[in-house]
Amino acid sequence: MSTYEAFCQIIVALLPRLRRFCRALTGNAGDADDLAQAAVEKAMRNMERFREEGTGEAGVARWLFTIAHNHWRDDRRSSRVRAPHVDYETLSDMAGEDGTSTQERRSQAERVQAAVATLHPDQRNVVALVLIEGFAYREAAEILEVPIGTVMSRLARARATLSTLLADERPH
Amino acid sequence: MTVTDEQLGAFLDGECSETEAARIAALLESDADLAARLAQLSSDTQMLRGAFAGVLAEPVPTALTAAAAPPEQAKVIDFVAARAARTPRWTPPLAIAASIALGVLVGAVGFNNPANVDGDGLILAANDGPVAGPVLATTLASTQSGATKSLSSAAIKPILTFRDSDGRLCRQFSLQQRGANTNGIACQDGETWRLIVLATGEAPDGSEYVTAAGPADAAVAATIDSMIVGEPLDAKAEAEALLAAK
Repeated sequence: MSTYEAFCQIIVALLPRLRRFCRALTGNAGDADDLAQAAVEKAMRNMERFREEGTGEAGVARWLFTIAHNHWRDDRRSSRVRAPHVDYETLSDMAGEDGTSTQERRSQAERVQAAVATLHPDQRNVVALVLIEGFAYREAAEILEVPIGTVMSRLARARATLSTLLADERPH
Repeated sequence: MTVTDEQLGAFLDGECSETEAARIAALLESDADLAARLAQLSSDTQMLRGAFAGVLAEPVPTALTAAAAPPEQAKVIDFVAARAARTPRWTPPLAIAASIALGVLVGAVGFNNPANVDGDGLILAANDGPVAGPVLATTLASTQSGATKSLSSAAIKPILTFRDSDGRLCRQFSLQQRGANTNGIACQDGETWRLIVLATGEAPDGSEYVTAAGPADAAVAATIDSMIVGEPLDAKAEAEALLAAK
């Protein structure tokens, strides 16, 4: 098997995780798959550049997630009309047609995902990388190009916010 | 001594130093509030992971998988394999593959009569498979490897010469024709040069030839590996072999 084919296989194996990461970043399935698509296409175009670094599977993962994150960040920066900031309270209290609240009708997973979507982007990306994808702080710092202390403080703030939002979700 | 949220998070995530971990572990023994904070942090983290776990089980969109696939392999016609598998008639899939590889439409050309496959008469279809036309045959029989024979509509360049397990003289050659770069192997069989494989690589945007290391060449190289006996002939052995074969 050529290096090229091996590289493609690693990317394919990473696709479910990439989709999960993009879901956490964007907050919805459609934008997430658009982002994943753009990231993979860019990775394939720049494969030569990566191969020179010669790292293994974990290296490919860091590289691919960096591409996805940068694309997401640049997209938000360049887009004049930013996606409206989701207001979790409004989202929760919205009543459905059958009279039950949206919050009741949505699954817990959807409610937790919605809570993550309300986080500031700078907190959402550390939550996605560290808490959901399981990257080490050092790896997350590398992907986000910020100091490790910044990763730690953002993570702590994100956890505090989520703790409030998810209070109702905890088993009593 | 207190434990900040940041420190407690790092403890849970396995990200603090051994000294720090030992300090927090010791405090947890006696500090019920701290233990409760850790329990809540842990439960929130689990809930968070659980909420996104379902995404991993979703089918990956085909467009995404396709984006991660190697570019379409060069179209390769293995005439030997095709002949073995062929029904008595020229089957449409092979006809289509040949037309793509050679950049021409073969259409209804059959094998009952020798026919001009590529439009320039370089490759002819015969009953028992494609053969080199007179110009290609002459070039293969007389041009040394590395030299290019330029024609009005094409350029032929023999690349190397070897012998197969039947002792036949075989040559790898490249054929530049109408913007396509075809790489092939032909073996001498009496007066005839029989084509063993032809591979055409197409650059994604159609503007460049496939590079020397492209998939088309890889396919041809693999075919040579499977056929060759000994080493490729050197220049002197090649010249002698070509002279003897005339």
